[in-house]
Amino acid sequence: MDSEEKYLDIRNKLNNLEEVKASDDFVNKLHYKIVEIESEKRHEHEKRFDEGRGGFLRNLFSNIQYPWLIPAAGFTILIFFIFYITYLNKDASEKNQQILSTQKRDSNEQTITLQPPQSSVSEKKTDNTIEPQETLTGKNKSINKENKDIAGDLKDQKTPKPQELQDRKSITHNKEESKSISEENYKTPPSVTNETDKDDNVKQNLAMKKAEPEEKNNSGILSPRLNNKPDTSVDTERLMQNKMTENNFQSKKLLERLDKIDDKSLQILRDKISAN
Amino acid sequence: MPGNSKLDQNYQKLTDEELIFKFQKDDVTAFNEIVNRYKDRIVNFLFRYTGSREDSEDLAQDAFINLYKSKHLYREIGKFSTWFYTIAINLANTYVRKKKKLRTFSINNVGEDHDSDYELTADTMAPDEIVNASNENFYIQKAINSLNQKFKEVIILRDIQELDYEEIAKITGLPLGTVKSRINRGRECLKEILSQIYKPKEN
Repeated sequence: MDSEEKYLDIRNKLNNLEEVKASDDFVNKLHYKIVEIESEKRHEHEKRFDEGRGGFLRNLFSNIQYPWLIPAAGFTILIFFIFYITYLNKDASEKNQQILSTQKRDSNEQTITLQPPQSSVSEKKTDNTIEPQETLTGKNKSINKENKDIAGDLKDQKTPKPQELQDRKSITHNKEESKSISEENYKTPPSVTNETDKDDNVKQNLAMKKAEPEEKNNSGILSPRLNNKPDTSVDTERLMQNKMTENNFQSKKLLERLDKIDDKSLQILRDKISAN
Repeated sequence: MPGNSKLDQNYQKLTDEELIFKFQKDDVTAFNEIVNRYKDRIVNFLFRYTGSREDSEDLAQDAFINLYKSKHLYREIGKFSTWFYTIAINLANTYVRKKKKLRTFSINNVGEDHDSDYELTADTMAPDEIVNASNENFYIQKAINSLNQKFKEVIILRDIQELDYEEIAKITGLPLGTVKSRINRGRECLKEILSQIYKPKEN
Protein backbone atom coordinates (compact mmCIF):
# COMPACT_ATOMS: atom_id res chain seq x y z
CA MET A 1 0.00 0.00 0.00
CA ASP A 2 1.31 3.45 -0.97
CA SER A 3 2.10 5.82 1.90
CA GLU A 4 0.11 8.60 0.25
CA GLU A 5 -3.00 6.42 0.27
CA LYS A 6 -2.30 5.09 3.73
CA TYR A 7 -2.36 8.59 5.28
CA LEU A 8 -5.04 9.97 2.99
CA ASP A 9 -7.26 10.89 5.89
CA ILE A 10 -4.68 13.00 7.69
CA ARG A 11 -3.52 14.45 4.39
CA ASN A 12 -7.02 15.65 3.61
CA LYS A 13 -7.39 17.12 7.04
CA LEU A 14 -4.13 19.06 6.69
CA ASN A 15 -4.97 20.12 3.16
CA ASN A 16 -8.37 21.41 4.20
CA LEU A 17 -6.97 23.56 6.96
CA GLU A 18 -8.03 27.13 6.70
CA GLU A 19 -5.41 29.17 4.86
CA VAL A 20 -4.00 31.98 6.95
CA LYS A 21 -3.53 35.16 4.94
CA ALA A 22 -1.24 38.10 5.57
CA SER A 23 -2.84 41.08 7.26
CA ASP A 24 -3.86 44.14 5.24
CA ASP A 25 -1.06 46.29 6.60
CA PHE A 26 1.52 43.57 5.99
CA VAL A 27 2.97 45.31 2.92
CA ASN A 28 2.97 48.74 4.59
CA LYS A 29 4.76 47.35 7.61
CA LEU A 30 7.26 45.64 5.31
CA HIS A 31 7.93 48.85 3.40
CA TYR A 32 8.32 50.78 6.61
CA LYS A 33 10.95 48.28 7.77
CA ILE A 34 12.74 48.44 4.42
CA VAL A 35 12.85 52.26 4.54
CA GLU A 36 14.29 52.05 8.05
CA ILE A 37 16.98 49.65 6.87
CA GLU A 38 17.80 51.88 3.92
CA SER A 39 18.09 54.95 6.14
CA GLU A 40 20.36 53.03 8.52
CA LYS A 41 22.48 51.96 5.59
CA ARG A 42 22.71 55.55 4.35
CA HIS A 43 23.55 56.77 7.83
CA GLU A 44 26.33 54.19 8.17
CA HIS A 45 27.68 55.12 4.75
CA GLU A 46 27.72 58.81 5.66
CA LYS A 47 29.39 57.98 8.95
CA ARG A 48 32.08 56.02 7.14
CA PHE A 49 32.51 58.86 4.67
CA ASP A 50 32.88 61.35 7.53
CA GLU A 51 35.40 59.09 9.25
CA GLY A 52 37.23 58.79 5.98
CA ARG A 53 37.65 62.55 5.87
CA GLY A 54 41.10 62.94 7.26
CA GLY A 55 43.80 65.41 6.53
CA PHE A 56 44.98 66.40 3.11
CA LEU A 57 47.65 63.70 2.99
CA ARG A 58 45.24 61.05 4.28
CA ASN A 59 42.73 61.86 1.57
CA LEU A 60 45.47 61.95 -0.99
CA PHE A 61 47.04 58.62 -0.12
CA SER A 62 44.16 56.69 1.44
CA ASN A 63 43.03 55.13 -1.85
CA ILE A 64 46.47 54.02 -2.92
CA GLN A 65 46.83 50.27 -3.17
CA TYR A 66 50.47 50.14 -2.13
CA PRO A 67 51.13 52.83 0.49
CA TRP A 68 54.80 51.84 0.81
CA LEU A 69 55.33 53.34 -2.64
CA ILE A 70 54.84 56.87 -1.28
CA PRO A 71 58.22 57.27 0.47
CA ALA A 72 59.98 55.48 -2.40
CA ALA A 73 58.42 57.80 -4.95
CA GLY A 74 59.23 60.82 -2.82
CA PHE A 75 62.86 59.74 -2.53
CA THR A 76 63.24 59.23 -6.28
CA ILE A 77 61.66 62.62 -6.98
CA LEU A 78 64.10 64.20 -4.52
CA ILE A 79 67.07 62.52 -6.23
CA PHE A 80 65.89 63.69 -9.64
CA PHE A 81 65.41 67.20 -8.27
CA ILE A 82 68.93 67.30 -6.81
CA PHE A 83 70.40 65.89 -10.02
CA TYR A 84 68.51 68.45 -12.08
CA ILE A 85 69.72 71.35 -9.94
CA THR A 86 73.34 70.17 -10.00
CA TYR A 87 73.19 69.64 -13.76
CA LEU A 88 71.83 73.16 -14.28
CA ASN A 89 74.49 74.60 -12.00
CA LYS A 90 77.15 72.70 -13.91
CA ASP A 91 75.99 74.28 -17.15
CA ALA A 92 75.81 77.70 -15.55
CA SER A 93 79.27 77.36 -13.98
CA GLU A 94 80.70 76.21 -17.31
CA LYS A 95 79.16 79.22 -19.00
CA ASN A 96 80.51 81.49 -16.29
CA GLN A 97 83.94 79.95 -16.64
CA GLN A 98 83.82 80.46 -20.36
CA ILE A 99 82.81 84.08 -19.91
CA LEU A 100 85.52 84.57 -17.31
CA SER A 101 88.11 82.92 -19.50
CA THR A 102 87.15 85.13 -22.45
CA GLN A 103 87.29 88.19 -20.23
CA LYS A 104 90.65 87.09 -18.87
CA ARG A 105 91.88 86.46 -22.36
CA ASP A 106 90.84 89.97 -23.39
CA SER A 107 92.44 91.51 -20.32
CA ASN A 108 95.59 89.46 -20.83
CA GLU A 109 95.80 90.68 -24.39
CA GLN A 110 95.52 94.22 -23.12
CA THR A 111 98.11 93.74 -20.35
CA ILE A 112 100.50 91.90 -22.64
CA THR A 113 100.48 94.76 -25.08
CA LEU A 114 100.70 97.38 -22.36
CA GLN A 115 103.43 95.77 -20.20
CA PRO A 116 107.00 95.73 -21.44
CA PRO A 117 108.15 92.14 -21.74
CA GLN A 118 110.18 90.82 -18.80
CA SER A 119 113.63 90.19 -20.01
CA SER A 120 115.79 88.18 -17.64
CA VAL A 121 116.78 87.61 -14.04
CA SER A 122 119.35 90.35 -14.18
CA GLU A 123 116.66 92.97 -14.81
CA LYS A 124 114.59 91.69 -11.93
CA LYS A 125 117.62 91.97 -9.74
CA THR A 126 118.16 95.55 -10.71
CA ASP A 127 114.54 96.41 -9.98
CA ASN A 128 114.85 94.94 -6.50
CA THR A 129 117.93 96.93 -5.73
CA ILE A 130 116.28 100.19 -6.76
CA GLU A 131 113.26 99.90 -4.50
CA PRO A 132 114.62 100.97 -1.06
CA GLN A 133 115.20 104.49 -2.34
CA GLU A 134 111.89 104.80 -4.16
CA THR A 135 108.80 106.32 -2.64
CA LEU A 136 106.22 103.58 -2.21
CA THR A 137 102.50 103.71 -1.69
CA GLY A 138 99.72 101.32 -0.52
CA LYS A 139 100.09 97.64 -1.25
CA ASN A 140 103.43 98.02 -2.93
CA LYS A 141 104.99 98.71 0.46
CA SER A 142 104.43 95.16 1.68
CA ILE A 143 105.65 93.68 -1.54
CA ASN A 144 108.71 95.91 -1.45
CA LYS A 145 109.46 94.80 2.10
CA GLU A 146 109.71 91.24 0.86
CA ASN A 147 111.76 92.44 -2.06
CA LYS A 148 114.11 94.21 0.32
CA ASP A 149 115.16 90.89 1.75
CA ILE A 150 115.64 89.44 -1.67
CA ALA A 151 117.55 92.55 -2.69
CA GLY A 152 119.76 92.20 0.36
CA ASP A 153 120.56 88.67 -0.63
CA LEU A 154 121.20 89.77 -4.13
CA LYS A 155 123.48 92.56 -2.89
CA ASP A 156 125.44 89.98 -0.99
CA GLN A 157 125.68 87.97 -4.14
CA LYS A 158 126.47 90.99 -6.34
CA THR A 159 128.96 92.78 -4.12
CA PRO A 160 132.13 91.04 -5.12
CA LYS A 161 134.56 89.78 -2.62
CA PRO A 162 138.32 90.12 -3.46
CA GLN A 163 138.57 86.48 -4.37
CA GLU A 164 135.53 86.53 -6.54
CA LEU A 165 136.60 89.61 -8.52
CA GLN A 166 139.24 87.73 -10.37
CA ASP A 167 136.84 84.99 -11.28
CA ARG A 168 134.30 87.46 -12.56
CA LYS A 169 136.73 89.10 -14.92
CA SER A 170 137.04 85.82 -16.65
CA ILE A 171 133.30 85.48 -16.79
CA THR A 172 132.81 88.90 -18.46
CA HIS A 173 134.13 87.53 -21.74
CA ASN A 174 131.51 84.88 -21.70
CA LYS A 175 128.79 87.41 -20.93
CA GLU A 176 129.57 89.36 -24.08
CA GLU A 177 128.94 86.19 -26.01
CA SER A 178 125.72 85.54 -24.20
CA LYS A 179 124.48 89.06 -25.01
CA SER A 180 123.47 88.02 -28.47
CA ILE A 181 121.54 85.04 -27.05
CA SER A 182 119.73 87.17 -24.48
CA GLU A 183 118.66 89.57 -27.23
CA GLU A 184 116.91 86.69 -28.93
CA ASN A 185 115.26 85.69 -25.71
CA TYR A 186 113.80 89.15 -25.20
CA LYS A 187 111.58 88.71 -28.21
CA THR A 188 107.98 88.04 -27.17
CA PRO A 189 106.07 85.23 -28.85
CA PRO A 190 104.22 86.35 -31.98
CA SER A 191 100.91 84.91 -30.83
CA VAL A 192 100.74 87.08 -27.72
CA THR A 193 101.57 90.54 -29.08
CA ASN A 194 100.15 92.40 -32.02
CA GLU A 195 102.22 92.84 -35.09
CA THR A 196 102.41 96.58 -34.75
CA ASP A 197 103.29 96.49 -31.09
CA LYS A 198 105.82 93.73 -31.51
CA ASP A 199 108.42 95.84 -33.27
CA ASP A 200 108.10 98.69 -30.82
CA ASN A 201 108.39 96.43 -27.81
CA VAL A 202 111.33 94.54 -29.19
CA LYS A 203 113.15 97.75 -30.01
CA GLN A 204 112.39 99.09 -26.55
CA ASN A 205 113.58 95.95 -24.82
CA LEU A 206 116.71 95.74 -26.87
CA ALA A 207 117.56 99.33 -26.05
CA MET A 208 117.09 98.65 -22.36
CA LYS A 209 119.00 95.40 -22.33
CA LYS A 210 121.88 96.77 -24.31
CA ALA A 211 122.40 99.38 -21.68
CA GLU A 212 122.30 96.94 -18.76
CA PRO A 213 125.10 94.53 -19.72
CA GLU A 214 127.34 97.50 -20.47
CA GLU A 215 126.77 98.78 -16.97
CA LYS A 216 127.45 95.36 -15.48
CA ASN A 217 130.40 94.51 -17.61
CA ASN A 218 132.42 97.66 -16.91
CA SER A 219 133.52 96.69 -13.47
CA GLY A 220 131.66 93.52 -12.64
CA ILE A 221 129.81 95.53 -9.98
CA LEU A 222 126.27 96.76 -10.33
CA SER A 223 126.06 100.14 -12.03
CA PRO A 224 125.24 103.32 -10.05
CA ARG A 225 122.01 103.51 -12.06
CA LEU A 226 120.78 100.29 -10.55
CA ASN A 227 121.58 101.36 -7.04
CA ASN A 228 120.03 104.83 -7.42
CA LYS A 229 116.78 106.22 -8.87
CA PRO A 230 116.16 105.50 -12.56
CA ASP A 231 116.35 108.34 -15.04
CA THR A 232 113.02 110.14 -15.29
CA SER A 233 113.51 110.89 -19.00
CA VAL A 234 113.69 107.19 -19.82
CA ASP A 235 110.56 106.44 -17.77
CA THR A 236 108.54 109.19 -19.43
CA GLU A 237 109.56 107.92 -22.82
CA ARG A 238 108.53 104.44 -21.87
CA LEU A 239 105.15 105.66 -20.57
CA MET A 240 104.55 107.61 -23.74
CA GLN A 241 105.31 104.55 -25.80
CA ASN A 242 102.97 102.48 -23.68
CA LYS A 243 100.19 105.03 -24.13
CA MET A 244 100.72 105.01 -27.84
CA THR A 245 100.54 101.25 -28.02
CA GLU A 246 97.42 101.30 -25.84
CA ASN A 247 95.73 103.80 -28.10
CA ASN A 248 96.64 101.77 -31.14
CA PHE A 249 95.29 98.63 -29.54
CA GLN A 250 91.99 100.26 -28.56
CA SER A 251 91.44 101.70 -31.99
CA LYS A 252 92.16 98.35 -33.57
CA LYS A 253 89.75 96.66 -31.25
CA LEU A 254 87.08 99.19 -32.05
CA LEU A 255 87.56 98.52 -35.71
CA GLU A 256 87.22 94.79 -35.12
CA ARG A 257 83.98 95.32 -33.26
CA LEU A 258 82.64 97.51 -36.02
CA ASP A 259 83.47 94.74 -38.49
CA LYS A 260 81.42 92.33 -36.47
CA ILE A 261 78.35 94.59 -36.22
CA ASP A 262 77.82 95.71 -39.81
CA ASP A 263 80.43 96.02 -42.51
CA LYS A 264 78.58 98.06 -45.06
CA SER A 265 76.79 100.55 -42.88
CA LEU A 266 79.81 101.28 -40.72
CA GLN A 267 82.24 101.66 -43.55
CA ILE A 268 81.76 105.39 -43.43
CA LEU A 269 82.41 105.48 -39.70
CA ARG A 270 85.52 103.36 -40.16
CA ASP A 271 86.80 105.77 -42.74
CA LYS A 272 86.16 108.66 -40.45
CA ILE A 273 87.97 106.94 -37.57
CA SER A 274 90.90 106.04 -39.76
CA ALA A 275 91.00 109.59 -41.01
CA ASN A 276 91.08 110.90 -37.45
CA MET B 1 2.56 50.81 -2.62
CA PRO B 2 0.51 52.34 -5.40
CA GLY B 3 1.70 51.27 -8.80
CA ASN B 4 0.71 51.53 -12.40
CA SER B 5 -1.93 48.87 -13.07
CA LYS B 6 -0.72 48.16 -16.63
CA LEU B 7 2.82 47.80 -15.38
CA ASP B 8 1.64 45.49 -12.61
CA GLN B 9 -0.19 43.35 -15.16
CA ASN B 10 3.00 42.99 -17.18
CA TYR B 11 4.86 41.90 -14.06
CA GLN B 12 2.13 39.40 -13.16
CA LYS B 13 2.89 37.52 -16.39
CA LEU B 14 6.55 37.08 -15.44
CA THR B 15 7.84 34.00 -13.65
CA ASP B 16 9.35 34.16 -10.16
CA GLU B 17 12.85 33.82 -11.58
CA GLU B 18 12.33 36.64 -14.08
CA LEU B 19 11.05 38.84 -11.29
CA ILE B 20 14.03 38.21 -9.04
CA PHE B 21 16.42 38.92 -11.92
CA LYS B 22 14.62 42.19 -12.52
CA PHE B 23 14.86 42.95 -8.81
CA GLN B 24 18.57 42.19 -8.90
CA LYS B 25 18.78 45.07 -11.36
CA ASP B 26 17.13 47.31 -8.72
CA ASP B 27 13.63 47.02 -10.15
CA VAL B 28 11.50 47.63 -7.05
CA THR B 29 8.26 46.82 -8.90
CA ALA B 30 9.51 43.25 -9.34
CA PHE B 31 10.09 43.03 -5.61
CA ASN B 32 6.54 44.27 -4.96
CA GLU B 33 5.20 41.59 -7.28
CA ILE B 34 7.17 38.92 -5.42
CA VAL B 35 5.76 40.19 -2.12
CA ASN B 36 2.23 40.03 -3.51
CA ARG B 37 2.75 36.49 -4.74
CA TYR B 38 4.38 35.02 -1.66
CA LYS B 39 3.12 36.98 1.32
CA ASP B 40 0.08 34.74 1.99
CA ARG B 41 1.93 31.49 1.29
CA ILE B 42 4.81 32.39 3.57
CA VAL B 43 2.59 33.70 6.35
CA ASN B 44 0.49 30.52 6.19
CA PHE B 45 3.59 28.30 6.24
CA LEU B 46 5.11 30.21 9.16
CA PHE B 47 1.81 30.24 11.06
CA ARG B 48 1.58 26.46 10.78
CA TYR B 49 5.21 26.18 11.79
CA THR B 50 5.15 28.55 14.77
CA GLY B 51 1.47 28.40 15.74
CA SER B 52 1.43 32.13 16.33
CA ARG B 53 -0.21 34.63 14.04
CA GLU B 54 1.83 37.65 15.12
CA ASP B 55 5.11 35.84 15.05
CA SER B 56 4.35 34.35 11.64
CA GLU B 57 3.76 37.84 10.19
CA ASP B 58 6.93 39.18 11.76
CA LEU B 59 8.92 36.25 10.49
CA ALA B 60 7.40 36.62 7.01
CA GLN B 61 8.44 40.27 6.96
CA ASP B 62 11.92 39.30 8.09
CA ALA B 63 12.03 36.76 5.26
CA PHE B 64 11.13 39.46 2.72
CA ILE B 65 13.69 41.82 4.21
CA ASN B 66 16.33 39.09 3.92
CA LEU B 67 15.29 38.66 0.32
CA TYR B 68 15.63 42.43 -0.20
CA LYS B 69 19.07 42.53 1.37
CA SER B 70 20.50 39.40 -0.22
CA LYS B 71 18.86 39.50 -3.63
CA HIS B 72 22.27 39.23 -5.32
CA LEU B 73 22.83 35.81 -3.69
CA TYR B 74 20.17 34.11 -5.79
CA ARG B 75 21.56 32.13 -8.71
CA GLU B 76 19.60 30.41 -11.44
CA ILE B 77 20.45 26.96 -10.08
CA GLY B 78 17.12 26.17 -8.48
CA LYS B 79 13.63 27.54 -8.31
CA PHE B 80 13.06 30.86 -6.64
CA SER B 81 10.37 29.36 -4.38
CA THR B 82 12.86 26.79 -3.05
CA TRP B 83 15.39 29.50 -2.25
CA PHE B 84 12.81 31.70 -0.60
CA TYR B 85 11.31 28.85 1.47
CA THR B 86 14.83 28.04 2.66
CA ILE B 87 15.17 31.60 3.95
CA ALA B 88 11.80 31.35 5.67
CA ILE B 89 12.44 27.95 7.24
CA ASN B 90 15.84 29.04 8.57
CA LEU B 91 14.22 32.05 10.21
CA ALA B 92 11.49 29.84 11.65
CA ASN B 93 14.00 27.36 13.07
CA THR B 94 15.96 30.19 14.70
CA TYR B 95 12.74 31.53 16.17
CA VAL B 96 11.73 28.15 17.58
CA ARG B 97 15.16 27.61 19.11
CA LYS B 98 15.03 30.99 20.82
CA LYS B 99 11.56 30.27 22.12
CA LYS B 100 12.68 26.92 23.49
CA LYS B 101 15.50 28.57 25.42
CA LEU B 102 13.09 31.07 26.94
CA ARG B 103 10.59 28.40 27.90
CA THR B 104 10.66 27.51 31.54
CA PHE B 105 10.83 23.81 32.29
CA SER B 106 8.56 22.15 34.82
CA ILE B 107 9.99 19.79 37.39
CA ASN B 108 8.35 16.91 35.53
CA ASN B 109 10.25 17.72 32.36
CA VAL B 110 13.65 17.53 34.04
CA GLY B 111 15.48 14.38 33.02
CA GLU B 112 13.00 13.53 30.26
CA ASP B 113 14.13 12.75 26.75
CA HIS B 114 13.43 15.85 24.63
CA ASP B 115 14.15 14.05 21.38
CA SER B 116 10.73 12.38 21.31
CA ASP B 117 8.61 12.45 18.14
CA TYR B 118 6.01 14.73 19.68
CA GLU B 119 5.37 16.64 22.90
CA LEU B 120 1.85 17.25 24.11
CA THR B 121 1.08 20.59 25.69
CA ALA B 122 -0.54 21.04 29.10
CA ASP B 123 -4.21 20.34 29.57
CA THR B 124 -4.97 23.92 30.58
CA MET B 125 -6.24 26.00 27.64
CA ALA B 126 -5.87 29.65 26.81
CA PRO B 127 -9.14 31.68 26.50
CA ASP B 128 -8.98 31.80 22.70
CA GLU B 129 -8.33 28.10 22.63
CA ILE B 130 -11.52 27.48 24.62
CA VAL B 131 -13.50 29.42 21.99
CA ASN B 132 -11.99 27.40 19.16
CA ALA B 133 -12.04 24.15 21.04
CA SER B 134 -15.02 22.83 19.09
CA ASN B 135 -13.18 23.44 15.78
CA GLU B 136 -11.22 20.46 14.42
CA ASN B 137 -8.68 22.73 12.77
CA PHE B 138 -7.70 24.02 16.16
CA TYR B 139 -6.78 20.52 17.27
CA ILE B 140 -4.99 19.76 14.07
CA GLN B 141 -2.86 22.89 14.57
CA LYS B 142 -2.29 21.84 18.14
CA ALA B 143 -1.16 18.43 16.93
CA ILE B 144 1.22 20.05 14.43
CA ASN B 145 2.67 22.24 17.17
CA SER B 146 3.22 19.14 19.27
CA LEU B 147 5.21 17.48 16.54
CA ASN B 148 8.98 17.32 16.62
CA GLN B 149 10.58 20.04 14.48
CA LYS B 150 12.17 17.63 12.02
CA PHE B 151 8.72 16.10 11.19
CA LYS B 152 6.84 19.35 11.37
CA GLU B 153 8.75 21.16 8.62
CA VAL B 154 8.45 18.33 6.10
CA ILE B 155 4.74 17.68 6.90
CA ILE B 156 3.87 21.38 6.45
CA LEU B 157 5.87 21.68 3.23
CA ARG B 158 4.35 18.54 1.77
CA ASP B 159 0.73 18.42 3.01
CA ILE B 160 -0.05 22.11 3.54
CA GLN B 161 2.21 23.92 1.03
CA GLU B 162 1.93 21.00 -1.40
CA LEU B 163 5.55 21.05 -2.52
CA ASP B 164 7.04 17.96 -4.20
CA TYR B 165 9.58 15.71 -2.50
CA GLU B 166 12.54 16.97 -4.52
CA GLU B 167 11.84 20.55 -3.62
CA ILE B 168 11.42 19.66 0.06
CA ALA B 169 14.71 17.80 -0.09
CA LYS B 170 16.38 20.91 -1.51
CA ILE B 171 14.82 23.24 1.06
CA THR B 172 15.70 21.11 4.03
CA GLY B 173 18.98 19.92 2.60
CA LEU B 174 18.09 16.31 3.32
CA PRO B 175 18.28 13.29 1.04
CA LEU B 176 15.08 12.40 -0.76
CA GLY B 177 14.68 9.10 1.09
CA THR B 178 15.05 10.85 4.45
CA VAL B 179 12.41 13.35 3.45
CA LYS B 180 9.98 10.63 2.45
CA SER B 181 10.50 8.61 5.61
CA ARG B 182 10.20 11.70 7.78
CA ILE B 183 6.95 12.65 6.09
CA ASN B 184 5.48 9.19 6.70
CA ARG B 185 6.66 9.12 10.25
CA GLY B 186 5.34 12.63 10.87
CA ARG B 187 1.93 11.69 9.51
CA GLU B 188 1.90 8.69 11.77
CA CYS B 189 2.71 10.82 14.80
CA LEU B 190 0.14 13.43 13.83
CA LYS B 191 -2.55 10.78 13.52
CA GLU B 192 -1.65 9.47 16.92
CA ILE B 193 -1.70 12.92 18.53
CA LEU B 194 -4.99 13.79 16.95
CA SER B 195 -6.54 10.58 18.20
CA GLN B 196 -5.43 11.53 21.69
CA ILE B 197 -6.55 15.19 21.76
CA TYR B 198 -9.56 15.25 19.46
CA LYS B 199 -12.51 13.00 19.38
CA PRO B 200 -15.17 14.12 16.96
CA LYS B 201 -18.70 14.34 18.35
CA GLU B 202 -21.02 11.66 17.13
CA ASN B 203 -24.25 12.90 15.63
